[in-house]
Amino acid sequence: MVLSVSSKEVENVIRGNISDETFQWLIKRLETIISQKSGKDLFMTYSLLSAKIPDNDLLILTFQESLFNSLLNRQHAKILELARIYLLMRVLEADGETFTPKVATLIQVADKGELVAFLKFLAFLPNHLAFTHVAVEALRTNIADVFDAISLNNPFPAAYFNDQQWNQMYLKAAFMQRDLSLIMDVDQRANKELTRIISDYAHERWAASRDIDPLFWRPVAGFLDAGLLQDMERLLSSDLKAEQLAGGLCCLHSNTPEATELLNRYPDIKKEISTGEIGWESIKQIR
Amino acid sequence: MTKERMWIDPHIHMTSRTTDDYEAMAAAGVVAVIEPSFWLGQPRTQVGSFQDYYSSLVGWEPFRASQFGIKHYCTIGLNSKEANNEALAEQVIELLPLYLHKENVVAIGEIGYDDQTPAEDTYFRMQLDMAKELDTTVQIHTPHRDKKAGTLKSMEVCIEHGLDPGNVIIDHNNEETVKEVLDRGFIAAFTIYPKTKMGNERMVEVVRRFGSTNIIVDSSADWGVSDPLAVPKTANLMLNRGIPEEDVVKTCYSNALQAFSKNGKMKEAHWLEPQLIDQRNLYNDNSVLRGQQPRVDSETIE
Repeated sequence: MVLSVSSKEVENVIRGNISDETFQWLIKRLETIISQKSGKDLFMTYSLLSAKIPDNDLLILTFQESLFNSLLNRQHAKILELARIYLLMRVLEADGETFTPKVATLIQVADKGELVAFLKFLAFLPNHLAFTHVAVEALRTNIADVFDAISLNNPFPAAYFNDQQWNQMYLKAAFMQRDLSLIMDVDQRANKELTRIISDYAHERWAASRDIDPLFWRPVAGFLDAGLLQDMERLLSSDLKAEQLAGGLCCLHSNTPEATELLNRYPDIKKEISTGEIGWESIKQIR
Repeated sequence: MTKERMWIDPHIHMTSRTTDDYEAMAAAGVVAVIEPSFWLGQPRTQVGSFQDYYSSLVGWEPFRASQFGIKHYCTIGLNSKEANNEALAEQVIELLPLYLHKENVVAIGEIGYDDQTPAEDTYFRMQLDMAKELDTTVQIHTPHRDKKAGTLKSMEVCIEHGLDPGNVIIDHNNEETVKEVLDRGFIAAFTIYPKTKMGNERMVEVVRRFGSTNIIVDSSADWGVSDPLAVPKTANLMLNRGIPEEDVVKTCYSNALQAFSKNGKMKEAHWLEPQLIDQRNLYNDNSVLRGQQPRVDSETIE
């Protein structure tokens, strides 16, 4: 997963997307901002970028395959977003002490679009840990765009959130009915406390006769205790194909004798998922 | 009003006004307002107070206005009075560019002179340079004391800093200043103060004498004694006194629209194709209602 990107790599991408004139202007401004340690010039340049680059133009990437390119694709990166991130990367690299509080102010007054850009590319900033609180704060929002920016297609949470923060994000994503398949590294961040939360939440929903996104179950595979095995049984015997497969996949990946035995009682489902062709991705299609 | 007309109040401090005012303004035909950032009566002592004030002008207040069917824009700047606290002014100036590109910000303002001190001059000029660089419209406050000299100086400094007079609105004019302002190609706005020398009777005469080109009517209503309906009332008075409708529409609607729409943020479509009012909406989980039944407009007739 791409977690560290150099400003040079980002520069190469934006160079292909903005005019040479704008690029030269930006480089010149950067020299002044850094040598003068000027917050005002930083803010002016940040502001002027929106006059020079249209708001919604998507980045055009070269065909060269790289992890960085594929992340930018996943995030539907816009030129203006990445140009602004480049500006912040450069000043933070050059003088973190001076510019970290300036960037913090910039985030405090950010509107929705600016906050989205910042959260999407947070992992790229040289001292991003100084801004983790902004990412955590974004978990509390009810604005879907802002929540999506940190939680979906973003490597930052898996890499830097603690279990409590991760679990809060995962549950809220389900609660806000986001597309859970877009959360990165769900398997790696599974933990016992999260499986308890998932099961409790599912029982609440079942009690209220409401359905649950089958993808929600994915993190429980490694933690199938007696209670969760009952949940799995309920999924395996569901009328819904997607729920059957979700229960089956959790049992298959759990590799415990009890889970294997449970799955053996549903030979059709077992057969279907054992070929390796049906995974969590296919559940998204079925749903 | 005999027929439904639309008005714009391009200078009104809604932060200091009530929801009754919003309702009355909407009922009187005000479709859009511009709220210049200014002095709040109590001098601010921290840069954070400015930051939260500006954030409110681009965040909460436009939401509040929308709940009453009025489109809200603002101008961002360090006002002349508070420019005299130099240690603070320096920090506020640094902050301004972060707001000037936000979606309802139509100009730098209201800036200019109050007591015409050297500190006011310094920060006025800094903001004009910023306007020049960002190619932004400027809204200028003219002083209450020594008005004529202050107004002339404001214009001279604008020209010295290379600004296009047609992109600068000079506020709080009177019969003594208007000619100089118009002759130099600036836009002249008038504040209607209730129960004072600049009542709307006088405004009628100004339009009769100077016409309607580059002239704008403001309420400048704020936390003091003022009238948030000054623009529609003045418009109606002009109509009753026989000022041609075309001139009334120009001075109370279209001139303001033209003057403040240059950066593309203010658009007539915002009120001609409005979002229906839905008072169930929230801003950061906060509502304008206190347990009342929300007003929810619908296009369907039930």
